[in-house]
Amino acid sequence: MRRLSVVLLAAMLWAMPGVAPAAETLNAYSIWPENWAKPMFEEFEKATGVHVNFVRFSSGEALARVIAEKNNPRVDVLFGGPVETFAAGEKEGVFEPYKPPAFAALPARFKQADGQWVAMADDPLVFMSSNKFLKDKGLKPPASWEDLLDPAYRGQLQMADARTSGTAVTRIFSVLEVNGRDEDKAFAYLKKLRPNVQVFTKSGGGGTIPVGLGQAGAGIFFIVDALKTRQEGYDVAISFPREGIGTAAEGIALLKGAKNPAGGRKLIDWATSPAMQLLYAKYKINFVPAHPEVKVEPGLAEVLKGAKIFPIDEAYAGANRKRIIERWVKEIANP
Amino acid sequence: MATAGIRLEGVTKRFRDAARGEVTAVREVTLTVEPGQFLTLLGPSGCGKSTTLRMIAGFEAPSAGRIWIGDTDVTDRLASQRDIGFVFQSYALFPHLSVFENVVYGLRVRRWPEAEIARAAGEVLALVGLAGYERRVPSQLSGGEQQRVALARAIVIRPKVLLFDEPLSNLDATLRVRMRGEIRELQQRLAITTVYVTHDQEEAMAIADRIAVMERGDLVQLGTAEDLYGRPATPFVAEFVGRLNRVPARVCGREAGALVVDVHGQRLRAEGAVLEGAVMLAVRPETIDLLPAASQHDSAVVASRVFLGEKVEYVVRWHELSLLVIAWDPIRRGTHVPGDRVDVRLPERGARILGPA
Amino acid sequence: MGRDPALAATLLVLWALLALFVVYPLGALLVKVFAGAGGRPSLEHVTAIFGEAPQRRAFYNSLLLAGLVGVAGTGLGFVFAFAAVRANLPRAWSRLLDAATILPLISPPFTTAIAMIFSFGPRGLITYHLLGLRDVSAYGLGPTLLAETLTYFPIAYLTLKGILAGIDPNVEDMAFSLGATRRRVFRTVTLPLTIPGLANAFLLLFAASLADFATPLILAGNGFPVLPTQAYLQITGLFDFTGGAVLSFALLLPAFAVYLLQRAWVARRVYVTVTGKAGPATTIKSLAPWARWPLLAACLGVSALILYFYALLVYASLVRAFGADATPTLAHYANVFTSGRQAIADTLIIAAVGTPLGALYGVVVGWLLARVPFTGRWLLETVSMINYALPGTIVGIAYLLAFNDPPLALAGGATLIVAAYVFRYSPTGIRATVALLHQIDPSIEEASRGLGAGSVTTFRRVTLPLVLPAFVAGLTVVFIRSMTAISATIFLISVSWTLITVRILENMTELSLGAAAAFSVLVVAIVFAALGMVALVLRRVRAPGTALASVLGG
Repeated sequence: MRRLSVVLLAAMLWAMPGVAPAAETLNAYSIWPENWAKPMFEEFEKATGVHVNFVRFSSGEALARVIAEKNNPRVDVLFGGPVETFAAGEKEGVFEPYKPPAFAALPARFKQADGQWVAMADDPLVFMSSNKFLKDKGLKPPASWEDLLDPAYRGQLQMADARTSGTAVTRIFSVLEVNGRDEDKAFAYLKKLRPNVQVFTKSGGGGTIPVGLGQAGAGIFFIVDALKTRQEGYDVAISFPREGIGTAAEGIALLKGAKNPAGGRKLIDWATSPAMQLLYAKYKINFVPAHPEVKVEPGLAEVLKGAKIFPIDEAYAGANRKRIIERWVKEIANP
Repeated sequence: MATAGIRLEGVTKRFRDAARGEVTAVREVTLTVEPGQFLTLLGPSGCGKSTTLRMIAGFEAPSAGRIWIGDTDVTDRLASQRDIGFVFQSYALFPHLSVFENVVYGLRVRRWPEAEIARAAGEVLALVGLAGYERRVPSQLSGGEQQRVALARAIVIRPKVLLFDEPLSNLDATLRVRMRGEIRELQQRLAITTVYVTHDQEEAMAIADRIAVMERGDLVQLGTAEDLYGRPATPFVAEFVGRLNRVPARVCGREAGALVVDVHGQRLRAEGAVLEGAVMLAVRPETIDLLPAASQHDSAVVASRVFLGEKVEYVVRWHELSLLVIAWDPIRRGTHVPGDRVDVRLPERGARILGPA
Repeated sequence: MGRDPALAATLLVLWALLALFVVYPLGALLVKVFAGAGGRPSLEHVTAIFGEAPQRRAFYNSLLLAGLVGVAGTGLGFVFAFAAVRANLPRAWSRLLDAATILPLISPPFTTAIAMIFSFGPRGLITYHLLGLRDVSAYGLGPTLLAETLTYFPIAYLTLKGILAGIDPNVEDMAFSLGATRRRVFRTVTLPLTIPGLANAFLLLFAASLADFATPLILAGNGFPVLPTQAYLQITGLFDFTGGAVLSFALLLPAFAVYLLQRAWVARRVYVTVTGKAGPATTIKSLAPWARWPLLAACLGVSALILYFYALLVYASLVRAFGADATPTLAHYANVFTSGRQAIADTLIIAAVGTPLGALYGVVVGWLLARVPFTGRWLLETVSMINYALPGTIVGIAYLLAFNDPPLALAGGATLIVAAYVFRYSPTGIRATVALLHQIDPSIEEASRGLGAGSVTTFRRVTLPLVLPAFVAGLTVVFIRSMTAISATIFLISVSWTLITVRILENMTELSLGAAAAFSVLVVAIVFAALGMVALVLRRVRAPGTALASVLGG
């Protein structure tokens, strides 16, 4: 017994965060995965001395939590995630408007007019396919939404579940845009696509490894996730549909009732400025910077060349998000 | 600590039992044990004797009534505050502690100084004949040795009263007889008020100053061994204490304050409740004499015979009765064998009337 | 017992805690489920949710999956137990079986699921590379069933091993001597004596599968929705607390039915054939020589599969990118020990606080139930078992509902996570304590009281040492679950408190398989180290009766 407790104690002492308690701390829900959020927050702490405690959730989860905690917010900032998630939150009145110094410089679609949220990056969707799979089936990388309906893809696609993932929501709104916002037409397409889907994953990037391994043939992902997969060494092809595909701005917002609003504003100032967005390249995070002064990293620019990418209208998406997701769950996920 | 008497007044214990509903285990028991006296609670299993003892100890709370130890009403006190020594049927030694630590447990609870503890433990272990056993653990001891440790553990705290719950029933017959002698001797030496529960009437008679007989929760008789044997208060006591024959008889008159009854022509003086007509008589087996048959008429037949050394036990068929007869000193006085015809001679006095037939 | 203030205080505290952490959250859940518009009781939410065919299907799927896992797991457990007890295994082999059966019990969730995803499917190591099969799905009922069976059959194995080992060989010898054939002895003696154990194992597995959240989340896919994951998605994805509450409430009914069945039927039917002196260890003849090899081959095959899964996990944690870049690296461990430090620290702190509390709670409640007559004992026993009997998803959702708002805004704090573990996983300790105390003469404690020790001293100096094995059992179970559970606590993590298991799920659903594997290996290593120490302690306190079996049985 004593030895057990000694060992446990030693393990706990080691495990205690070694960082000296920062003078100021900030709490955040991050929708960006840990391996991107963490270096950003560390750089932020270096720059400002403010330490960020955070926990990572998928966009749906994060939004659900923020709404659930509306009366008693446990975090100050919602960090990352497609802005249509923020637009949905805007309707629930969970954000505190704030316009950082970079506000004026940002294009209109990277900010909410009142400053309820602002964007720090842009993240287009792509088709990502396994080269092994393509070779087996004698296919070319899909270049149209229609290509994905090919019976060769039966049970081979992995993409995210709209209940938890912002990737999925952006994807569904892309299909809506491609179909001229005709919901029935869009859902008819999604229904036809359904038999080709192997599984809807909980998070947006959940299908990347299966596609990388060839366990799945292809999927629709954000470009950050797709390029990360390729960087890891997986043999995947990245392509764009000629009808066009949506892109989601990655947002940040201050929460109403935040315990440390000043710190939150500091983070927003920093995240929307070139100070942070110049770091994407350093950490091999393949976001397209939102700030017009920050150049797109050449490798990323190469991939994007010639791709038809359109923004998702956040007002339209935010207003219809809940209804569309519910329809998707009813008709597509659990038919 | 000076020993103290025990007093129970109207002590009652009711249980809720899933199968039988409310059960009264002990009903309004009132009794007094004088300081230094040795009392046994005697009765068949389920009569409430152990429950009574456990209420004295404080392991059960009475549903009604009060209990005094000395001048203190202890009814609402926990067992730990009653200053008792208790010896369990199972000994209940602490299996994880050595003999020494078992014995001094109560002293440690009382925060005795270490030197005093060692001295007291040495003394008490010598007293029970276990000097040198200090470092063993209970599982290494025989039943008798465990019993002595339990006894030592109970008396080392010099309790006001000593309570035993069938302490010898897990021992073999010879050891049981020896241990009861030792317990009695120890009790006399320490002059400590003792209550001792047993279902064995011989043990009760051998060890106690007074015996309280219980039947189905009631205290039915309290007295010396002679009282219980010679003047049982109820048919139950008569049958439970010692052995007896039930013999139907007819009341035919009175003589010098006693009733005269007739059993197959033999006229006996019997004690007991005044009744008329047909009655049931209790006749102790050792009071019946067997004589060589004088005539075929009215003679009895020996059905079986058990030779036990100092006595012989016969079963004799006489009219419609099977009588148990005990004859002493068979070697010198000779015995009958099964099939012998004998005359039965009932005692002229000493039989008791149990009640109407 | 009102005469003993220490006891009265203990009971009062216990009831207060149970009211707060068991009754109140369940009540909050029920209110959510049954409160209609205007706060009147109504079935509208229930009919709304279960008016949808997919949700009804999720309910049937859950029952179907649980039933199949119960049957398959019990069968596999019986095969293993029979081999372990009756096949006269060489030492090394029985070690292998032990390792293969203990690993799934102490692993974090998802481990089997991760390995399954690698191994099966269109390009799976087994299905494609080994067997050359094409277009095999790694999702749906089959893979979920396989993963859950492999994860939970050790529970059946431990249950049945004890029962098979407890059958006095003389009973079987007697049947042989009366002229019965092996098959007949098995059918008429061995099997009937094992039936209560089989039923018990089935119910345990049924409940475990019903409550399992992690495996279907990864493997069930969309064609086979089950309730726990549906409830989770309903709440975290659609922010529909009511719907989640209704879905989890639907889990409550079968869970409680199983619990009641187990109590009412199985508990009374466990035959104990060991009476008096057990027969001499005869060479057991109930296994025919020809049957030995297929039996062993089956066990070895399954053991090999399990060990392969874990080897795969270790491998994945040691290469740069599984399946793409086989360069050996310790980067994932470096990552685990740097960015995962917070999660490791939080998990260990919560385990360190919850484990002794849970073990103590288990022993105290067990002691009260076994030894102390007080009014409401039956109620205390039932209430103390509620969180144990309920699937974790329900507990998590109920806690979230109950503790989200002031004045009891405990959500997000460590208290709630600790409470979830203590009240959910201590009942094993309670049962172990009750079972042990039934074997210990109550007069031993009375002797202590008679000698002047109060109830606290008696508990500390006599009861606690005597029930130490049960205490250790409770300690171990709460510790293991604190390290590996996710179904309830995934709802309770926050910025300040996160858990290794949640990080594994995050890593899994994100891109970092290597990190997920490294975290899993770390958890298995920590738990193994803890178990090793427990085994040492148990040996030292001379309690050989308390095998790991009883420790892990729950």
